[in-house]
Amino acid sequence: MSHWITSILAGASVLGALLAGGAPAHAQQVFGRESLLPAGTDLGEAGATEPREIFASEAHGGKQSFMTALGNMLFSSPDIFGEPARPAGVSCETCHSAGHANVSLYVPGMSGPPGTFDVSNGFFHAVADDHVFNPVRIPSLRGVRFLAPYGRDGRIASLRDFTRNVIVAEFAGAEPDPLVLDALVSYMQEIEFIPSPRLQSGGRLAADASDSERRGAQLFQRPFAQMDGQSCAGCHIPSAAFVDHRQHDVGSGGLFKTPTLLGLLSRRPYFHDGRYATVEEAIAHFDRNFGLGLTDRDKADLLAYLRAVGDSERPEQPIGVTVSLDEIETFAGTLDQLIRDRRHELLSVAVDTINHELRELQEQFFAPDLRRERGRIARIVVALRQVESAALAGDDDHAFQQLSTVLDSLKAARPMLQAAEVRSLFDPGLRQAYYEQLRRLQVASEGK
Amino acid sequence: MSFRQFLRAATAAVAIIFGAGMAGQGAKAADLSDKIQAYRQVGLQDLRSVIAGVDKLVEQLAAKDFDGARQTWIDARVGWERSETFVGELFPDSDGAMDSWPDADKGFHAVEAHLFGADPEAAMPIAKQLRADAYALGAKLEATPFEAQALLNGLAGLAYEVGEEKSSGAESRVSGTSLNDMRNNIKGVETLYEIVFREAVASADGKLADRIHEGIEEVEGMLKVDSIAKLDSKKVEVASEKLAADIMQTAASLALQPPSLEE
Repeated sequence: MSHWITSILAGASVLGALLAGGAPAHAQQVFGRESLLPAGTDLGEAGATEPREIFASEAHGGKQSFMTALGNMLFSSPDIFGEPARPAGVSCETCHSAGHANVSLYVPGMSGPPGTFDVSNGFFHAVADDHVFNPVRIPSLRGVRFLAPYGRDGRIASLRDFTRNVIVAEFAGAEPDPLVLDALVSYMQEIEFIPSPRLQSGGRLAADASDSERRGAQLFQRPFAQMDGQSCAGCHIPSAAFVDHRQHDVGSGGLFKTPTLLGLLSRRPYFHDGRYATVEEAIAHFDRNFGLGLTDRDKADLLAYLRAVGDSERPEQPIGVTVSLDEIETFAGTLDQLIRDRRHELLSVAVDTINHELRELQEQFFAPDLRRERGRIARIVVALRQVESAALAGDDDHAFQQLSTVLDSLKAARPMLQAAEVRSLFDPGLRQAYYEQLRRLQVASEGK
Repeated sequence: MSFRQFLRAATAAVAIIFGAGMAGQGAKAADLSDKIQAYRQVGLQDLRSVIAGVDKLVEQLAAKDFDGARQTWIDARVGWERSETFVGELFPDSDGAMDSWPDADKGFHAVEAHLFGADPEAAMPIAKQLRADAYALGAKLEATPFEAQALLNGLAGLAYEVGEEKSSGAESRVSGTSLNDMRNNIKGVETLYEIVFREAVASADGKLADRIHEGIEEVEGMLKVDSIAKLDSKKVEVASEKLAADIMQTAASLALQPPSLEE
């Protein structure tokens, strides 16, 4: 196998076609006869950005604890799931990219609109099949510690129980070690909301709010007789992360829990089943269902207010070497403790996960002239496997020595990889061209 | 662990990560020239079969014998995948022209997408270019010497590559023959190791030689499944990384540089 990018770098027609307005490659479907996921699946991997993730500890000048870092690693590991998720590379991260929602995820037969998924479909665990096509919107986990109860209808009170249910019941994983659950919960509880630049404390509008936003806020607080005297704010309590921790029937097919409105704009679609693609449609639903008689200006004002509430400061960040290596180093930071505690099973999970991340990073350095970069990463992968082998053989001294060398080499590789980033698939143009090649192969094979 | 053991382990770790210049010092180079010559004949024969296969492929496409062409494409991949132990090292231009992924314009996989896809006739111009590239490779074959360092690099590199992610479908996903690719890759690793390196490694470190042999057999065993869907790719990944690590450790006893895994 060699690398196609030679022709791209040599000025082949593909990039030119793209720049001249060819099909954007932000979507990439699984195709061919060999995928472990249904043909047509889009895992949302083709984009050049990923959700930004803020940890409570880091926001206050600290760093992720061992438990949070371990949970962060496990969140990215298919090893905690059973078949077919594990061999297919599906992890918590697949649906909740960087602890947010993968709004591009689409699996034929299991998704309604992109960003929704039917966890009771039976594909990932036959015993969970309820024989109903009922995909739900993939929720963001930002601020999840403030959003109990859990599940679309709030059926599970504790995040720990909910997480266990996802692993065991929905994705056929083995009963998780208590440390695994503790770590996953620690990680998720650290994920902060990304602040809205349009809000101040108490969920109040910023001082420079527009007239329309202010009118929208007043409307949001106004009791409506058609809603039994309730206001929007009665359920979406501004000072309480815009939730009331309760379930309501708002004419969408049953009782569903009140979703937060924070970060609304970056986690489409809307309602429990993702039936609405826009905030406007969601507003129209309430107007129609409760007969509120909103005027066009009312709707525009409510939209302006919800846009202010649902805004996020830089909700996305470019993918790249720095972000990837930061995450890999965080994961690798758990290895010392795992060796020390002789948690060999978790050590293997960690090495598998880190090596998988390293191999993904390696794939970004695709061009023929990036051999040194690819080799540097591959040698770290192999050395990490030796760390695991030494620890499993009971030779902890050797494992620690090897680990120290690996961690040093990771740090040493950073400037080299950063310097080559512009020639890697982290470059948006090259990335787009890469996925365009895949798309053309798919078109040729499927004839569409 | 004694200090000497510790030092040896630490040196091995540094050598694996930083590569060149850290191993092989002081070891006496084994004379592998006869073995390399023997392997060269095997490798060249594999590539000659690829060139002949591509020639036949074009003829079958011209005759609109698409079923025959599909089987010929599959057959031609056998020698190609076995030769990946040295093609990337010795013939990088041909590797890029004939087997780049993902490439919709040239090479085996662009042919594959049409041939096994909706419009097999559309494979013809790409197959003709593949034939021209195969001939260009053929013209270089006889004059290219094989040498131990390049072969050890290719051996470790291919052992590592076998463990690459396959969950979204691998390179030969349209024909559904990626499993063949992997089997032939590991067969190529086995052939090269057994013919060229095993005896020399065994004379220096019998346990390491056996471990590599067993590692190859382990991967081969994992690939004895009906389809990629039944493959435990995670286990293959782990086994391939351990195998690559062991192969890299042979450099010292062979008086060669540790493979850089840069292919």
